[in-house]
Order: sequence, then structure tokens, then C-alpha cells
Amino acid sequence: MELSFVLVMFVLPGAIIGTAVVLALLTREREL
Amino acid sequence: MPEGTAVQVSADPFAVAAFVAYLGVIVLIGALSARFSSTGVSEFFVGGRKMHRFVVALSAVVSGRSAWLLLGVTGMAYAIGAAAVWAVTGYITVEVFLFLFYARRLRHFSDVYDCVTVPDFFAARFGDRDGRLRAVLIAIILIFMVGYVSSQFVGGGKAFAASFGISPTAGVLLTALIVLAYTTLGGFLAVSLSDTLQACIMIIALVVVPVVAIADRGGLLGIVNELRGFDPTMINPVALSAGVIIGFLGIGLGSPGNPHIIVRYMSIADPDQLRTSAVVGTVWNVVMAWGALFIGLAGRVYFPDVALLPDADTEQLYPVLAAQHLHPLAFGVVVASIFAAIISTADSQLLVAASSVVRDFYEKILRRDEEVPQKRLVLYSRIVVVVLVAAALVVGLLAEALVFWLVLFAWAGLGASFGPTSILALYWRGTTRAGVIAGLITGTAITFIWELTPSLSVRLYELIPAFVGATLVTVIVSRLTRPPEDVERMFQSMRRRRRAREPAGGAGLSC
Repeated sequence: MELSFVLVMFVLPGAIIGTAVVLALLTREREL
Repeated sequence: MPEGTAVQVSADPFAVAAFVAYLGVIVLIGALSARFSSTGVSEFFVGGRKMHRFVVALSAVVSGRSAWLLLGVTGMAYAIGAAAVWAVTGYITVEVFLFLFYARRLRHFSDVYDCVTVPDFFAARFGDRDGRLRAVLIAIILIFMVGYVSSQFVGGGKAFAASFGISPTAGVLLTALIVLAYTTLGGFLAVSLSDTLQACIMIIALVVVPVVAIADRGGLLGIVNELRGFDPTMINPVALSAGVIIGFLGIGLGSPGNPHIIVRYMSIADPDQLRTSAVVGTVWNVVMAWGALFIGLAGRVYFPDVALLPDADTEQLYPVLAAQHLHPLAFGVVVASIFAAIISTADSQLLVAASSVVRDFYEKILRRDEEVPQKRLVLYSRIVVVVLVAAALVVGLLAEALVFWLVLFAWAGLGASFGPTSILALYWRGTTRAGVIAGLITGTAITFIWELTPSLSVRLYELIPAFVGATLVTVIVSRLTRPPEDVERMFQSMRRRRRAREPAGGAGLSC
């Protein structure tokens, strides 16, 4: 399977969810 | 299936039963929410700011996703392959940041100044005592929202016709009647709760259909190999020009400017819970979007030629593929998911349009020196919802072509006008009322001009230049005018953690 296909169809969605989780944890005690 | 013959979907008693059960639950939610929503205008339009984090997450996500996701994105992935991924990546990424940053500031401010609508927020932020800013906001909301709701009704009518074989006109009337029933009865609470249920139906359908379709064809490797043999660009995500990819990603600029999404953020009970809403909303957004993409890719293997789809319409792929692979009862759920996408958007847009008439125009401009009883405002709100449904129906039935022309840039028009101005209002102390009015008008004007100029609209999605233009004009005019004197106190209220309501009228800036 082509790398670019794997990246956008499998890695990208995981990266977006991962970013949301990390940012949610980082902003836990912070006023924004 | 004979080669060259288009498949047709026919009504099945099981599918009809599943669909009718879904409709029954939606109307029941409306009836059960009626008592709470009758309390006052805050309850009717923003759920009294008592919404649960999951309800806010799911209702914000599905209010922004109309049938475009289920029918449009599946059709796009069918037509252009994996490159359709860019059409969903932009808005999902933008909404992560909206949930985590923008929404918290807006929610804190709304609580302190008792804002019920998005124009309420702007009016309080810029001390709009003469109602001029509010009037511009109302005009923009009504210009775009009535056409937007009409298009949802027309979409519902077509889906009814395609799924159950009734006439499109009867389908439009039925769609309008269902939305009218629970929105009028239950207001924001009914709309949010039904959106939550509809989000669940949508995600189930968008996971089950591609999984079954891909499994039936020998798994993902089989699908990819068939696509590669058929057309290698189908599995190439960068098989588009940079301009097209930027245009697709630019769709995300619309999210901060569509009031039917923004008002969801204002309704959460505890602003700190928006972090959870961000994660839940993002998971939902991602799973639904990638489900739609995989449906398109799998669909191309099953229907290599578009002539095999009803009316050679790529937007028919989703129901056709589901009808082929699922039990009729499950197909009924798939049809329900299309309606869920349509009416979860229409109901939210309807409430925003009604709130701009009753709360922003009647209460805050026409009767601004009087105390109007809350029960009367709720009654007027219900009447306005009925009138707006009737107006949307008339537009939808008489000018179908115009409706689809309107919806093409309604997302762009609202996004380009409300988006940059609301972001600057929340993050830049130097923003002024004159700057915002200029930005709102610029965003709307560029959207219209760009869309109506074929040589421009074919090059780039109008939202991007309109968003940039509105941002620049807001900043330039703000630089030339004076910001409100107590801007520091307003910025403090955006960071306030708990309820610390300003004394009513004390600062002369409450909504």
C-alpha cells in the first residue's frame, strides 16, 4: 500500500485525535 | 447486477419501520423538552446554559455537518479518491482549536454578560447601545439562514423520494413538518438532545457501511489493489493542484463564523468541561469523516462507472451501497442517518434565525426600553419558528435552483463575516465596533462578488479571500477608531472561571 495513502487515511486521523487529547491535557489548569 | 443498469433503492417494510421509529423518538424528545424550554428566552434559545459536555460536543459537531458529509463527501471520494481527505481535514482541525480556546472565552463572557445569542455577544463586547451592530448581524444571519434551511428541506425531500418512493414535494413538506414539530415544542434543549441521538445514528451508519462493504470485497488490501488497477490517482492523496487542496482546507475557516455552531459553545454548563467536549467532538468528527471517505473509495470498486448509480449521481452512492449490503432494518437506520444529518443542521439554523428576530430585533431593538415577559418572548419565538419554516418552504418549493445556489456560499458568507470578527473580538483588545461592522459587510460582500464572478470562483473557494479581506478591513478600521473604554474588564470576564455576573445594566454593556 502506498505510503502517502497510509499516512492520510490512517496516520492523519490518529494525529488529529492525538493533538486534541494532548492540547486538552495541556490546557487543564490554564486560563486561556 | 447487469452491466450498465443503474441500481434502484426501493422501500422495504423493515426500513420504513426503523425510520418511523427514529422519527417517533425525535418528536418525543421535542414533546418532553417543551416544559423546560417554555420557561424563558434563555432556555428556549441556549438551553439555560445547562448543557452537558457530551451534548455540546455532539450537537456542535453534527449541527455543522449537513447532508454534505454523508452524500457530498462520499460522492467526492468516489469521484476523486483519497484526495477528498483535504475537504474534511480543515474543518476538523479548526474545530479542535475552537472547542479548546475560542469556546471557553466566549462561554465565560456570555455568562458574565448574560448573552443568549451571538449578536448578544457582539453587542455586549462593543457597547452597541443604538443597535446598529446588532442590526447588521441580524441582516447577515437572515440573508444566509433562510436559504440554508430551505436547502436542508429540499435535501430531505430528495432523500425521502429516493428512499421511500414518495414525491419530492411531499418529502420536502414532511421534512419541514418534522423539524417544525420538535423545534417549536422543545427549543434548544430538544434540538441539542435530538442532535446527540442523531450523532450516534450517523456514526454507527458511517462505520457499519464501509466496514461491511470493504469486508465483502476481500478487505482493505483488496479494495486498494482494485483501485490501483482501475485508476492509480484514486489512492494518491496529493493528486490535486495546490490551489484545490488549499481551497478544500479553507472550508475549515467557516466553522468559527457559523452561529448555529458557535451558540453550542455558549450553552455548556461548565466551561472547563469544554476540554472533554473537544476530545469527544474530535473523535466523532474524525470517525464520521473517514467513514465517509472509505464509503467513497469502496463504492468506486462496486460501481466503477457513475452510470451504474441512480441518475448517474455520485451523491446516491451512500444509500445505494447500504441497500446492497445491509439488512432492510439496518438500511432504515442508514436512511435515518441521512435525515439526521439534514435535520440536525436545519433545526439549529432555524433556532439561530428565530433568535435573531425575537431576541435581537424584537426584544433588544424594538422593545429595548421595556421589560417584555419571558413567557411572551417564548410564545413569539415559537410563532417566528413557524413563520421561518413557512418562508424556507416557500423558497425551497418555488426556487429550488436558487436554494442550491444560495447554499453554495451560505457557509462561506457566515464564515467570512462572523469568523474573523468574532476571533478578533475575543483575542484583540484593539477591535472596535466600527471595525467589526466594516469586517462583517466586507466578508459578506466579497463572498457574493467572488461567487458571482466565474473567473474568480473557479480558481479559489470564496470563503478564503472573503475571510482574509474581512480580517484586514476589521483590523484597519479598528486601528483608525477607538476601542471600548472598559475593554480590559471585558477581557478579564473572558477568563473568569466561575459565575460572577455583572450587575444588570451596571456597566451599560450587558446583553
